[in-house]
Amino acid sequence: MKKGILPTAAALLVCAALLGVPALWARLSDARRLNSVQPRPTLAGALNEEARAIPVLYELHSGTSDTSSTDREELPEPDLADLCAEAAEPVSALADAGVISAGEKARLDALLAQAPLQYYRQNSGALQSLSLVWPQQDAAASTAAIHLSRQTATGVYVSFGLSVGGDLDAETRLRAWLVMLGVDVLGDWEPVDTGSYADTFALYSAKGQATAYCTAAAGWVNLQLSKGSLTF
Amino acid sequence: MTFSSKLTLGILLLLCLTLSIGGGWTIDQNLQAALLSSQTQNTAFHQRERSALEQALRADDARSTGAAARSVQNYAGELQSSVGAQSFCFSVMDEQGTTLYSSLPRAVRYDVLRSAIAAGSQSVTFCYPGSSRYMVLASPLQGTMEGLWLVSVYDITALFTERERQLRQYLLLEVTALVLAGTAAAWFSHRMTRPLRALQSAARSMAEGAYDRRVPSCRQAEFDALGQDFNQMAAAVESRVDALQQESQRQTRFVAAFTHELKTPMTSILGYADLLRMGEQPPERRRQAADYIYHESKRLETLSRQLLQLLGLQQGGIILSPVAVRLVFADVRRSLPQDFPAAICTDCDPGAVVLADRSLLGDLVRNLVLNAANAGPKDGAVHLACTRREGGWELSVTDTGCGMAAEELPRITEAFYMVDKSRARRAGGSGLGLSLCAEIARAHGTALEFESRPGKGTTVRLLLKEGTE
Repeated sequence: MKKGILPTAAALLVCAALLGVPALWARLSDARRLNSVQPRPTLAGALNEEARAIPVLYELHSGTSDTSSTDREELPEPDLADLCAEAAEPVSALADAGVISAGEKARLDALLAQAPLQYYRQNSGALQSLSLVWPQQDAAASTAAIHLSRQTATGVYVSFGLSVGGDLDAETRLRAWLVMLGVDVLGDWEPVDTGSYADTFALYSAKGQATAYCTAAAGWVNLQLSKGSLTF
Repeated sequence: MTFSSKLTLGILLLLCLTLSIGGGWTIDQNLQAALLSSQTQNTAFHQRERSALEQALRADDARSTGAAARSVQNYAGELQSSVGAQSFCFSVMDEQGTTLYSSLPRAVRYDVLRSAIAAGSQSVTFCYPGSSRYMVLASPLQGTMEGLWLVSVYDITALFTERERQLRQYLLLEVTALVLAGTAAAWFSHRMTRPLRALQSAARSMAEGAYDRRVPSCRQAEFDALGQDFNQMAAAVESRVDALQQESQRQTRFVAAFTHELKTPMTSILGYADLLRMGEQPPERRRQAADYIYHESKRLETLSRQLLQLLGLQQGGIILSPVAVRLVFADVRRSLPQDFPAAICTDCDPGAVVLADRSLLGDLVRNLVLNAANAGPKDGAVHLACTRREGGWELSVTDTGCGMAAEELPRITEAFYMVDKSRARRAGGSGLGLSLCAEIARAHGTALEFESRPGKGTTVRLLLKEGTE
């Protein structure tokens, strides 16, 4: 009888000790959690922190760049040389980045060397737009124009409309432009189906919650960076 | 420690281990899930707060620490007036660690905020000041001046309070389950081992000499089979012990009878030898003494010879061969003395051949004939017969002498057993004759059958297998 008391008591003690396992587990888990850094959950549809660190994308989402609600302002006193110089700077940058070819740049420089027939300036707060229009060179050609839009906060151009084209395809231009903007680092730019717009190539970034597209038709190149997902 | 106790404790330990680990894991997983859900929700709150603050800073064009502090104060004031001070809990710090604004609880230390900022904008940290539990999220504020950080603190004490409640509830559940399971296990193991205890009790009883003790059958197949095997073993032991006891009694009787049979002639021999030693005796007396000594010595010699033959038969086998019964009867007739007191009548089929040892079979028949003659047949004859029976031949020796009582028959083949001792001794009998006959019959694979009625006579039958000459 006495022989059985010690093992029985030991077994019951072990049972009693085991009852404390859940509480002990909880304490250990708490201690581990306190000393650890856990990853923050990703919010669906929210701008990725990596994208937020890129000024042009942050401004694209936080700025109120709604052109439809802005007042269209025509400059009363044309300072044509300054306007052309203002437009020449981003055009050179595009050429340096490989978005437009040297020939296209030369044609644009030739245009910018002339005084525009019309010009427009728009200031929506977040965006500043400039449009320059030249008369047609001959009866067969269409009107020549340059449209530029830049973010007020960052000074980065997020929209181009250029009366050139034919030298490069839309994808090459777009990918070169993304590199120029510095948004290619997100690494998740995926092609978007553009449907019947055969001259258009578009890319979407889930991290950046933005769509970039390029339309390269005969004699006209359009580049645009927009927030959200666009449907063509 | 008994087997049932071990079984009960084993079940309890296993159950306790399973419940404890399972419970600990489950409760921790519940908290983890709740924390994850809370993280998602608080991250959304934090992002909303961050965007609102960034908008406020941009609206105020806060590009210096002072302007930013004022802008955040204004924002917090508007927030407080619209949703109340208890609804938000955040701090704004610049990159030097200067707090521009804070509505955090005092318990949340400064170093916790710095740790959250150091962890980065994609992380979640925790702090446990006192009994409170907080989730801390830090993100940089962009759009105006560099180096501003928003640190939001969310009270998650309720999740841990709920976890503690689950722990208490689970402990109660676990204790209840263990008590119930322990009781059930104790009852079950006690009931399961009941046949073993019955077996143990029976074994102890047998060890104390109760060889008739048996275990009852039970419903559990394994224990029932064990019990049946035990009962079979007990029956075999009991039978063996009975046989050994009977053998012991027989040996005791044999030794007593042998001693007595030795003592009787030795006493006579000693007496007459002493008489001869005392001095010159008359010739008649001397001849009588010598006769006694001679006859008693002869009896002893016969006794020892028969005893040797008996032991030889008990120890070794014999070789059987076809023997014609008429030849055996003829051998017996020739071996009898000329002054044999009874006539021998034979009725034997001339073709009767049996499997036997001719010499031993002759001794058997001769002994039976001598006994039959000593019984004093009224017709003065001993009848020998050999008749066909199924599977062999039946030899019989019949006399019309004094016969024997029925209660004597089972013992007449015991060594030194004599129905009428004085008559047997007068006839020179040693008491081993029928024992020897029974042993010879056994060596032939058969047994003697006695049929006797007092005053009417006796018939002894022996069935032998048929042999081919």
